[in-house]
Amino acid sequence: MERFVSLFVTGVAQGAVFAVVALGFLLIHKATGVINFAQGDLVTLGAYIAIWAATDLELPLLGAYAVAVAALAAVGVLIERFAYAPIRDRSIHVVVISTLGAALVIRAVIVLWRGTSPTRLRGPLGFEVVEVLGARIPKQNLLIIGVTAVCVAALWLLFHRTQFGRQVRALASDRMAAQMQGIRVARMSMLTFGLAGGLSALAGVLIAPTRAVTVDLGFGPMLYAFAASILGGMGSIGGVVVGALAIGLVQQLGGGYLSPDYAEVYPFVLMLLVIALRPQGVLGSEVRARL
Amino acid sequence: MTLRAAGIAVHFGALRAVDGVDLAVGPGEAVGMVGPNGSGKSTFLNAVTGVVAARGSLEVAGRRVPLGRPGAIRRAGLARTFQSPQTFRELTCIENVLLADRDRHATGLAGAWLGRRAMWRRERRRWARALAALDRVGLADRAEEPAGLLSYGQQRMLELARALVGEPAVLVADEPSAGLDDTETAELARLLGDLPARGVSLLVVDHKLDLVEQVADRVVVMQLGRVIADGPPAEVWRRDEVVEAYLGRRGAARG
Amino acid sequence: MGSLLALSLLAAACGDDDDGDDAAADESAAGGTTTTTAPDYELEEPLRIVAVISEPGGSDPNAVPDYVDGIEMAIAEINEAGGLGGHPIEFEAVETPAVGDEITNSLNLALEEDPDVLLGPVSSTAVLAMAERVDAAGVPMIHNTTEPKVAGDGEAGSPWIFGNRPPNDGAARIAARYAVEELGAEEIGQLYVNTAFGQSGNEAQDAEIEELGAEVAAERSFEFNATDLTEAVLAMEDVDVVLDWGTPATVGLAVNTLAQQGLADVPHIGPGSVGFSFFADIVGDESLLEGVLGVVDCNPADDDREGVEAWHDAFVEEYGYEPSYGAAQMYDAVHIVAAIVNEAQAADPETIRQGLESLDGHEGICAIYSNENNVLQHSSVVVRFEDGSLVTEKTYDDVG
Ligand SMILES: Nc1ncnc2c1ncn2[C@@H]1O[C@H](COP(=O)(O)OP(=O)(O)OP(=O)(O)O)[C@@H](O)[C@H]1O
Ligand SMILES: [Mg+2]
Repeated sequence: MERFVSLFVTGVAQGAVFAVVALGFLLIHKATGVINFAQGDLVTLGAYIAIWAATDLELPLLGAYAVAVAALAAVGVLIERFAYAPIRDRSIHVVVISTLGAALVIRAVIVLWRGTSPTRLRGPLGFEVVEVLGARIPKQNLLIIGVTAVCVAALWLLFHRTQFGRQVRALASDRMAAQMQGIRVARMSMLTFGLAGGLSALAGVLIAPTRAVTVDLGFGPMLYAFAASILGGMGSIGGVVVGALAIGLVQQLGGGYLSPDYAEVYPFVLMLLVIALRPQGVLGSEVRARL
Repeated sequence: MTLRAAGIAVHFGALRAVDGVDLAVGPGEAVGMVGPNGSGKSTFLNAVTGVVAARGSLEVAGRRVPLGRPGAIRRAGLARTFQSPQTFRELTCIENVLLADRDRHATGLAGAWLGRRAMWRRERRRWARALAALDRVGLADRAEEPAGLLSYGQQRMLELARALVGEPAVLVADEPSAGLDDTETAELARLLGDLPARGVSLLVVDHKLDLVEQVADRVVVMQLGRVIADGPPAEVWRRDEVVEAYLGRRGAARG
Repeated sequence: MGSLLALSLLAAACGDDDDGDDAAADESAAGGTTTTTAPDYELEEPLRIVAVISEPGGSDPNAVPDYVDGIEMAIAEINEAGGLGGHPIEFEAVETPAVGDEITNSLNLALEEDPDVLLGPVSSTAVLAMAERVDAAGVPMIHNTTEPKVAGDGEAGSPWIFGNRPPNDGAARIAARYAVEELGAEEIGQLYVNTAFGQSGNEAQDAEIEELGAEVAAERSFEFNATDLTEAVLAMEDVDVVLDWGTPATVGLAVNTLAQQGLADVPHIGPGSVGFSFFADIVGDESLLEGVLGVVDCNPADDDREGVEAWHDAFVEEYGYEPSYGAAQMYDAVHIVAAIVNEAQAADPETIRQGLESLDGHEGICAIYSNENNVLQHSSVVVRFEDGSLVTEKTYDDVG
């Protein structure tokens, strides 16, 4: 039982981080049709900026986190301006390659700036644990789950209760028609890239305190977030969140109860199964099948 | 003038789909545009709504607007419905209408996060307006359903509601009656007919001449990309070139 | 400078290390090497040493000063005592990143300096990228990596290439031996990263554990970028010792997770990276380091071989930081070369290559060096943390 609780909470916490990253994917994909492969390196950059703000600027931890989120929102906008806007009318492949290029640039900048030696970002809760049904649960994991829940709720409101959200969804639904409704496409894509950048930083500062920070920090979360997006059908917030939680849980419980040697593989097996059986994603309807 | 298009020309290779059309629609005026298939009516509308590249000049609600910029033209006050309705199928009906609301304040992120109270108040007003627009076209009870579930005729009505909630200076409607049955067409005629009195000028292209006659004070006839007649319906129908170009078949059928 | 001079005099007692007939005498002599008074001979040209190692502030953001400082300290000693064959040693360091396209550029620049011997590089990637060209150029190289592919029998091995770190699989075996023989472990848990480093270390440990009659009770591997080790750590619940052949980042993560799961008092033996200065930062909480042990190449901060403490203190005084084992190894490399030159009274590449090939029992700061399969060092030290610094637990002289 303790083992199950432990693995379950870990799975949900990991899934929550994947969800935050995947929501960034979703936002940008909805507004522009593009998959932004720089997302993972934005996670890493967010963590490093928080470390810089906390150590070099000696800001209190929450201040450092806020600096990271704000800085990454700006970086998101810059990526939109330099890696997306100039080539937005080119083939989708060109644009995706361009985001990969942005990812490499970010990575190089991080290495030049902070080196590749691992470092650490403090978490507000240190290494404290709480006992839940006999299992020792790191408080940071509970924090991750809580913050993600708030963030998902806020994004849902944003998507469904504001003009901004409706415009993003209209863009995803029919780009041309949206343009004819007077939706400012360029501004929307800037805003979504910025928002996705902020989300990446949030994922970065949430996950960094649980482990050492290296230039690879965001790589794993990005891969799993991508798988989660596919699972969720790249369509709705709910789908993406369910996909991300499924991936976190499959990874932990599969590793714990099937065979630990394949823990890293289960999520992708799940993803391939879903692609084969339900190409529109777990929660997707057929209207969304056109990805 | 609410809408003034001058020297509009659209060429597809050698084909002069629209070949130098001048058209002005005054405040509160309702203009019908007719012409045989392929005479360039839709292409002209595409030109003045910015979706095809065109030469010429455009003024909406007294302001110059660049051609080829659909968003800017829409924001300047020219709304359009399409020959085949273009609704956002994944969004609910009311969201489709909300999207076009004139009130663009607090639409962005800053509004969503900083001005929450103001936003909610505005958002409530917007919902009220959107619901009223849906009510006008008889879709109030479908407000929360995805637009994709509506029938063809209802989608047209939804498009109309969406065009009207933005309080446009002029509405451009392409074949609004296509695919509608007689009751729906009658309802449509009533809705369109009301617009000039509400301060919305109208440019309507339709094959159903009785509908055009019912809503329009003035008719423009297109042939081979040019305007060949312009005047009150009763008078225009009688002109020789019109009878020959367009009504000929109809006249023959009548005769 | 005064202390340096004193040190060079102190270190002077011991000499050459040629044929091994006086190896026994050497071993009892002081650590810290080289000749007392410069032997009376004349080199036609001075010995030229070129390092393919970056210094901090250059192109490689991860450069640490240890290696080049170790080299410069040794060269300064020798030159102050009169140099070699009537000439001071000449030295250049060429910026050489640990990874990337510029590695081969750096080697070309280094070869243009006309070296008699190359010192470095300090990363596996770099030495693999350089091996073929070094072999072709015919310049002896002493690299500071454990890369098995450039050992004498490795696929990229060359008679010109020597390494002065003990082999990785040997160090991994030491971890297992220490666990069983010193800690009395019977049920052993293994963690390792899915890279060549982790896998070969894990295999070596498996063999050693079996030989010693203990048992692997749990084994978990993970990717180098693992973000969570909860499952792996929970599997370690009932083991006596955890052997961890991970990256610094994953070892740090394992330390944290073990503590969170209430397993902080299970001894946790990691690889050499535990001895890196940044390891304590990764773990984030000094108290968690108490249960951590590491198998490092040597621990100059706590080594009672004669002369090592004096060297350590002189280094700290001169450069202001704790020398890593890398600093000691590169310091030693210079003295090994100097001893060869003095013995042969010649400083050409082939002479140095032959000297390295027949190296036997050279007493250095970090270790006693002998060539075997083009690997010069065969000892490791098990260390643990005490108040944030490394304390030597046991030294092993038979590491692969
Ligand atoms: N994108 C295009 N490329 C090439 N030719 C086009 C294009 N769009 C329209 N055309 C041509 O331009 C001419 C005018 O077409 P348009 O659709 O404007 O006519 P219309 O008057 O709206 O006809 P209908 O009454 O059938 O709707 C036709 O010959 C048509 O084939
Ligand atoms: Mg048409």
